[in-house]
Amino acid sequence: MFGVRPKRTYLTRTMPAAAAAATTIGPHDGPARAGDLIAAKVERLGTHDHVEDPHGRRVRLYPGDLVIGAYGNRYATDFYEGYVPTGARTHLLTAGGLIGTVAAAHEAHADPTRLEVAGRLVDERLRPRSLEDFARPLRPLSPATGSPITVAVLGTSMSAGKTTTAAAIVRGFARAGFAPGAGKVTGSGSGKDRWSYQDAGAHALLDFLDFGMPSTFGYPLNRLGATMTAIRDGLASEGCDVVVLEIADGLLQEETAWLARRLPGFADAVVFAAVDALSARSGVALLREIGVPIRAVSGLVTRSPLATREATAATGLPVLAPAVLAGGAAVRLVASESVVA
Amino acid sequence: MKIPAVAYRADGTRGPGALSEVELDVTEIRESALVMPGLLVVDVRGGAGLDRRGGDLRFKPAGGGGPLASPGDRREAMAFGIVNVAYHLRRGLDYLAPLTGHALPPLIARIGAHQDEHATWGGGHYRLPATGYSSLPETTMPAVTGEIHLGPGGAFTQAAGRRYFAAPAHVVAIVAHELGHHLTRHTADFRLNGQRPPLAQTNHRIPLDEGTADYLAAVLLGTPDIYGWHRGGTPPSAQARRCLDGPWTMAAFRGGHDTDPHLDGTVWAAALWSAREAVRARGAQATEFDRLVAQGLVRTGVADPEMPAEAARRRRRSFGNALGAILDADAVRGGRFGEVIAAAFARRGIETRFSNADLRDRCRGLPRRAPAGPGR
Repeated sequence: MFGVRPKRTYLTRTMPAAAAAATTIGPHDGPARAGDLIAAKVERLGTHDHVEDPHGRRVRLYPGDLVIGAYGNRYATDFYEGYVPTGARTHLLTAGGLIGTVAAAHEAHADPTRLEVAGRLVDERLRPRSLEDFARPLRPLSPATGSPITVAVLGTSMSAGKTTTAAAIVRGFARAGFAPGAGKVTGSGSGKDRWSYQDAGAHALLDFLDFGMPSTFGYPLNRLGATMTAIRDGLASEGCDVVVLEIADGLLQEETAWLARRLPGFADAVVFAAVDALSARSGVALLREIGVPIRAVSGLVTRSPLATREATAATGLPVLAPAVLAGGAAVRLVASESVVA
Repeated sequence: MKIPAVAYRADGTRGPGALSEVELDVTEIRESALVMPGLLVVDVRGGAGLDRRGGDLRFKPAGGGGPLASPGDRREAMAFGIVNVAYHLRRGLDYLAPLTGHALPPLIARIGAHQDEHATWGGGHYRLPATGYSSLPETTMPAVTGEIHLGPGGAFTQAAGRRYFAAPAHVVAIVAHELGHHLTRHTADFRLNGQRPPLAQTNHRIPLDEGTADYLAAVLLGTPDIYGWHRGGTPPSAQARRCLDGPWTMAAFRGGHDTDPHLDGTVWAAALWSAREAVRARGAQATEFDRLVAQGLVRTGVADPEMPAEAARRRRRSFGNALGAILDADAVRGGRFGEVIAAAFARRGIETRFSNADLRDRCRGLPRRAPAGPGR
């Protein structure tokens, strides 16, 4: 029909091979919901000229390609605000395979890749498939499994260096002899982030995609809270004695702000990734207001010695470059006394 | 005065050792230091509180302490570390004295050294006063007779199924290895430091030095897998594990200034260990071979006033010459083990008549470079 094999995207990572083999493309009927698995034809290439395959490899797109992705919403200040579409013409919101319609775009990415929905993925009995079908159950942590040390990474905004910071913390713990787990609590499914953690030495990885969400924007807050706990507990049950959690976007994003308020008593340490000294100061102040155990600042601000000095003075916290965290300071984030830079 | 103490004793397992009650002959107990005859062990960070128990040095390891421990546990682990280092250095020095025929010069061990420059340093080094240092510079001049510096530690390992902060003061292999450098400095003196100004010695080490230090660690630990505990993540099959019963021969020798002398030293250490096992298999005590090794080091260090310094250094870095010194030491004792020792070394590709490079090339099946040996 299309001459080339459909290109499965990263968001289908959780779909077992047998299930994938048993699916076909069925009609597109019924309401569209986040997580629905969708086949869509590339009408015109725009910002995204590639997708990530289920392993995270960049796969080049051509007009006419059929991509298998999932409906979802996107909240990305540097990219798109996008929503589950209401019609057959829509957009590729992420390289990970998130399909939705752009409502607002950063001016650098004003031209999204256009898709035409070809149909839903359905099983042998023509039942539509959704990422929810392949979600891990939200199991409570077994009492026999000790609660792991938990470090959370938040940031001022998208592209503040959160993933780099979290990966550096993972690296620091791995080097120090721990079995660190890495979890991404919110955001949009991305193979790149997963590989960052893997390369840093993560013993195990979990993210919201493992719990049935292609992206987290628009999901009920309680579900996000339960997912944060489930990621931590899931990593602990896989043998991780330290869990590093990345929470996407900036503190002013509603879901991030809601999750941040749940960190006191949940996280042993929080690192704040900031783009500059002023945002470091305001972010740290916001977190302190709600009692978050913030132990250090990192992120893009650390690229500048001057900005680092400013941020140190403005926050009273150690401002640690990712290389410093990876080199040993990560463990000291959860030291029984104050952080040693 | 004999003081009751607790330290790890080597038990042949891949762990820190068995926690045991021992006695230490201590001259003075300070807040964070123990003074013993010919030995000072101090934790430069202070706060160990060694003197808080009225002359009782039975402290707990407290999981090695580390940044995740409570302040109380950190202090306990620090105190234990001082005692542990003191016990093992004392034991090693006492073992070596009759083998070399003289007590080694006074030794200082500084725990928690270089914390400001490298807060997570998990190793140790042996330092002599020098005009410069390739890494971790000294803010105060080390003692002329040499100092062991042990880092504060930065990584965790496992002990008895639990996480354990691998503070170097708790890792007997590191302590024993550094003691090995004190031995070689004051016997073979591979770098001719005895001929340099006391405050301008060199801290560069050669493979024979590192290999001998690993060998002493194996002797004192009673196992060839000296780093099996805190470097257990490195596969035993990797040369970097520095396991003395590995298959290393001169074929694995690299040589040259850019090579880690620890790795090349593994060949020498493995040869020493297999010779020791061969001597034991003849029904002799292992100590008899250790004595030959110590005497070989002493013989290597005897200066030849006629020989230019460069020639002397070249002579002292030769594996073949070091083996020759051991065989000579055996010969003056009746030559009971010469044959078995030479055979054990030959299996590692080490013979007395060739330079290190020639031994390597022979082992790799490459053409010989020169018919003449390095000259003994």
